[in-house]
Amino acid sequence: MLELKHAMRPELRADERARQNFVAGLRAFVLNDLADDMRVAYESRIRPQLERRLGRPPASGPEVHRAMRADPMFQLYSALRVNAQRMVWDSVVPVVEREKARLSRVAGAVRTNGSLDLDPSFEVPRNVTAIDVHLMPGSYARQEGPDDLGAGAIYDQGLAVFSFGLMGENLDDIGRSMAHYIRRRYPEFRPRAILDIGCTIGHNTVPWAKAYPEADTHAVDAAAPGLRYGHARAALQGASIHFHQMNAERLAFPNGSFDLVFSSMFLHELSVKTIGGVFREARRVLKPGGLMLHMELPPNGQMSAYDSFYLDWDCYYNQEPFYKAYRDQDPKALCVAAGFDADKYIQFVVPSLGFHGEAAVDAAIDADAGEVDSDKTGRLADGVQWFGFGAWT
Amino acid sequence: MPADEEIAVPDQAPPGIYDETGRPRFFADAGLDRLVSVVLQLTSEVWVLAERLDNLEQLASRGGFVTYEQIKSYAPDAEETARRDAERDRFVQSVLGPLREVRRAEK
Repeated sequence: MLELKHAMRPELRADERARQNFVAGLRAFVLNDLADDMRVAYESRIRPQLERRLGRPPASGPEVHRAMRADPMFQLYSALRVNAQRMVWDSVVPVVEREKARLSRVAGAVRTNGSLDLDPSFEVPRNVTAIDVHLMPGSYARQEGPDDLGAGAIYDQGLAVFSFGLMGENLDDIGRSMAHYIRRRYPEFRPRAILDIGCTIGHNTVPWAKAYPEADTHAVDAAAPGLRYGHARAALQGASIHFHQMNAERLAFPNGSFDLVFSSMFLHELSVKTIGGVFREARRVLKPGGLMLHMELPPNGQMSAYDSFYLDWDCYYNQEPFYKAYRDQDPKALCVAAGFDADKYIQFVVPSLGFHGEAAVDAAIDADAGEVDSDKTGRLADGVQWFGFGAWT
Repeated sequence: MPADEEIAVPDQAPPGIYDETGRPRFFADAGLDRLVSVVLQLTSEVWVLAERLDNLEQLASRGGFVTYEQIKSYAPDAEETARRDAERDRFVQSVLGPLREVRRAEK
């Protein structure tokens, strides 16, 4: 099992480790083995039937989804995956309950050149509070006192079990892969001020701060517990990051403050309308020659009907209400609608640095590959690759 | 701020995919959905016991007294973790393997 390496991690008792170890193994079994089997079932059984009925190949994820519902392989995969997701949190919440007071003390004693700027009057948006996103109990914003960082610790430990090693030692593989790509691909780009929007616990902010140590790095999120936790977590990894409780649609930064505004797995938590607001705000705070960059799930328009169905599963069964509507958008059109120049749009696919190694990432940069590998991109399984897009100002 | 109706059932959801409590359901017989939870909980409990026994064997094989605190806080080193991860994967495959499509087809 992946055990976090940073000093803010909760200490595990032997039985807690065993429970998490099992859930991580179960997740790997479902997302590698059963997922492969479900594709076999689709190709051998479901697709031929569906094509006969439609008189053409399936055109969309929802068409595949409806056909899959009746198949035992889909039912088993899905039932196991929903249960595994609940078991992730069940294996984590008691650990954090036991460790929370100690973690708050550790956080309180942290010394850093970074900062933590919380806003007690901040109104947390309903997409964060209304449901248990990712089935995480109590959601990301729940806090029981002014020092409560529990939701941040639950998310960190939960993601470690959830990702069964595929998101890196400190869950920073997305940030490490993306930052490595940008540094290598655009060596002349030397950002002096960086902003991460929707940072949760800053797990993907840290690698950017380390990739560009001369830059001032800021990170914003709506949920205070994650910011408290992330501030200490980053400091204990030697990264000086300024964390702020802010809404990404209404940033309290002057126009032209940043060279780079980025997010990691953030946009699919937002309605399409909110994404428009976030992109316009990103453009406002960017300097000329700056870059807006998002690591996200790949768009449905660039994938097969089956792979669309496969990724959109989370929307229906993992409390991700905006996931599919986001993936139905054309990322370039989103950038253009927010005022970015179509000619300055970029998109690329980075092999996961942790899974494939630096040579594979460098090869992808040299090949200048922007094409989505329908089967591997954005899919948490062996061979994972990350999708990135954005635009220069 | 999104309106409430934006956080309801996602669009293009096939009918009947949630039960009356809002939980996803997958099988024609709702009892099967519940049984999957039972099987997985039970499998998890068996694995926790297996690790606990493994820990005790590791500690006992060192000789001398073993304290309660040593048992509860036992943490395997890197080598042992790798061995245990491989054992866990074998365990998962052996208990849940019959669910697999490919293995069934090969038989």
